[in-house]
Amino acid sequence: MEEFIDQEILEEFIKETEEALGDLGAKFVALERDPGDEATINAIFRAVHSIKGSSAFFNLNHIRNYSHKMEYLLDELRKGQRTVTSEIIDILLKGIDHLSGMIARLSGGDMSIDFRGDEASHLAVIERLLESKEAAPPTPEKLMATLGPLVAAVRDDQGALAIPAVARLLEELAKAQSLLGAAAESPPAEGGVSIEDALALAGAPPDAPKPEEKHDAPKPAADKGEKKGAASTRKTLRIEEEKLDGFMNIVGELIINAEVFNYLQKKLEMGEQIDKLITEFKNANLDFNELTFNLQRGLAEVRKVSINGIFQKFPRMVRDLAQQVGKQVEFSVIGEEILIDKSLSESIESPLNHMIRNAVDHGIDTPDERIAAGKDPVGKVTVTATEQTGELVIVITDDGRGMNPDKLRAKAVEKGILTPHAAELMSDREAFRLIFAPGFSTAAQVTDISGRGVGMDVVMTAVQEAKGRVDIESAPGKGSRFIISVPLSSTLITISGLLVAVGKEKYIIPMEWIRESLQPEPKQVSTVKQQGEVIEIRGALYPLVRLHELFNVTPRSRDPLQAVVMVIDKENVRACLMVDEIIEETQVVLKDLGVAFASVKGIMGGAILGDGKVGLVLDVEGMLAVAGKGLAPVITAG
Amino acid sequence: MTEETQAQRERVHAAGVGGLEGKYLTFVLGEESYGLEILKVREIIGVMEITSVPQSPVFIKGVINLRGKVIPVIDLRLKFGMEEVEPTEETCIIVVDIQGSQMGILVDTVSEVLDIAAGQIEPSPSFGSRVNTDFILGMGKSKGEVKILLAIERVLSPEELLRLADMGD
Repeated sequence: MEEFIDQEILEEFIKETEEALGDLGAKFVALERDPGDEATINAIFRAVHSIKGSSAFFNLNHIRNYSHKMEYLLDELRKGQRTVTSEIIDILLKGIDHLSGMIARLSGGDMSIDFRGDEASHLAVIERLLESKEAAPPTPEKLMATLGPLVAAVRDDQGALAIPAVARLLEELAKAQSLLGAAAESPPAEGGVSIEDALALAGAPPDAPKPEEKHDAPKPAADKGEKKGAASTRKTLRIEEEKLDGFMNIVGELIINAEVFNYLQKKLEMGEQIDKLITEFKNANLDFNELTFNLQRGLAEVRKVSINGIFQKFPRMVRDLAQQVGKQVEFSVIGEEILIDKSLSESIESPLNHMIRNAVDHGIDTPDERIAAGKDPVGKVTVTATEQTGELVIVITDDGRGMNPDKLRAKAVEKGILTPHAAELMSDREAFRLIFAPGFSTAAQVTDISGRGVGMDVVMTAVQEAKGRVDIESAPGKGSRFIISVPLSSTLITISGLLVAVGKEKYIIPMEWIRESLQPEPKQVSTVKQQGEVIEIRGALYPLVRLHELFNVTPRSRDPLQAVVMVIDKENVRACLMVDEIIEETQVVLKDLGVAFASVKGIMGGAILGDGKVGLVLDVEGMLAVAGKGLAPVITAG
Repeated sequence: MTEETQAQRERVHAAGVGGLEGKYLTFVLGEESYGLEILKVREIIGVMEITSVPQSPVFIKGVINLRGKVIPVIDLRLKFGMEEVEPTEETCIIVVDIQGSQMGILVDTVSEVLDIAAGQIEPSPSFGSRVNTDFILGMGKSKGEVKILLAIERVLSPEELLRLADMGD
């Protein structure tokens, strides 16, 4: 291309098109599921239409041609002239892939506008399809175009019935009826029309939209909503002006707040009685707290992107994979509105992708197997994202084959990963985790066992790099749940916890881990073989973990009866943490300790305490892992 | 070791000792006097209460609150194998910028800012110092005293912190 193109505008085009194309995969899958959904087809049409328009502007004729042909096909679908089928969706999805490929070349600086071989051949497929007209069920508009004039002609100028016109009308109605009958066999779609509707439309005013008119004028509301959704997946962070204005307001209020503090300081310096100023001071402080809270929350929001940026890619991937391996899968996503830090979204995409693939490929059973097992032939894979204190938790659930822990144990012993004795001692939960062991299995080998394990060690590595963890629950025949938890690290995290003291040191234990705290009675404390010290609480034994021993500090007392224990009982982690005393309940902002402490386990980070000193926030699970305690199953006393 | 030292010497010469001239903040550890390139120094603060972090290497004293930032503090005495001493009135924390992140180094006392000319700087000796020669840019001479000019970003590099942290385990 010889003409000068503003590089910046071109980059903008590339970015926008990449985003639009990324979004389209999920939209096509949605359309396939619900072919009558006008909003979806219109959104797809608009996206492709605007790609066509922009590429024409840049003289990118290959992209323009391609999107133009796709637009034709979409237009036919939109107008109900062609039925949405899996085959057509396939063709369109492939078209999207090719468009993505062209954009990728462009992004790499390749300005050539030639088609690659596969692109040209696929374009030919689209063209052939366009030539073959389908006897599509009529749309109301189409029916109206035919029937309208006939209805109008039924009565002549004097209002008398014109018999030939009535005959023609009846003839057309019969045709329409047969076409509509055919349409009724395909899944019920919004495009389906009753004769009554058609007739009602036929009587519609003459300025009703004509069928050959393109409905390019977008619905303003729907268009806006869509743009907003796409904006949250941007690579660069775009900040809405409104949000910045919000910050400006907060800053303005902070300045006023500072004035109030200045005023109070002056009064104090002038010897005003403190008790007179206390209320004013409290109010100013309250304002200040609220302002900083708003500022903090606002900034954290600005840094975030929607998790939908990665989630939107999955429906397409699942659809294609399911087709490929002969499974029927209903895939759903919950929590796509969750906002996470951009870097986090990049680091979790690949492991999530891998695990969802696994769920479809190996987790879900074949339709035949499912029917034989009395299950719905259509398997379900659900991805749920939730935000919990400081963590993003993503759960991938399938209702497929599930895993048999005994077979996993046997396999591990056979592979020499475990001794038979160790295998015997291993809990089911730990046994499931064997699939993450490097070299535990390949797909072919594991299919007879459970159908899991492809590259799972890679998944584990990726999740661990994001400082996360994976937990597995599974029941043979019922399905599996993979629970991935990763810290929302680079964002501002507030943690509510208990500030506790051990000797001179203060630690913060996140509230979510603490079930209760108590001062042990003599009869509750005992020593159990291989378990060490334990505390009995309502019949269950909890290993006693002395924080002072673990962290090598001098406590006020080494006697558990003089101390307070925090009862940790969450999922598979159980222990009693011994501390000197509980100081107070507190809310802190978590701060990363940095690279100097990268090897320290059991500490989540630091936090500035009310007195200005740094307190350490405990990573309870990591800490108990270091202690080698707390992961044991509960032993029931007696 | 000899090879490394040789490499070190060559590096200093290749860069031209002249590349090292400039302002240095000098401080004292035990009997020795050290210099830090002034551009790496962010500020000097008095010693404050340091929160120790369990399971970290002994030379990392812990973390402090620097105006809302949590930064680590390294005891340079312990890092260089000297004995630990109780903080005095003169004990300081020098806050340095290492690859964009801040760290504090605990020193006995801060002396002054010195202008050291290229002619006053010699390559680091291959022996006679307790400090690993990799950490030394060169030896600066001023007013009849020798200052060890530290390559602080090497002393506090992530690799160095982690390597020793691993050894500490």
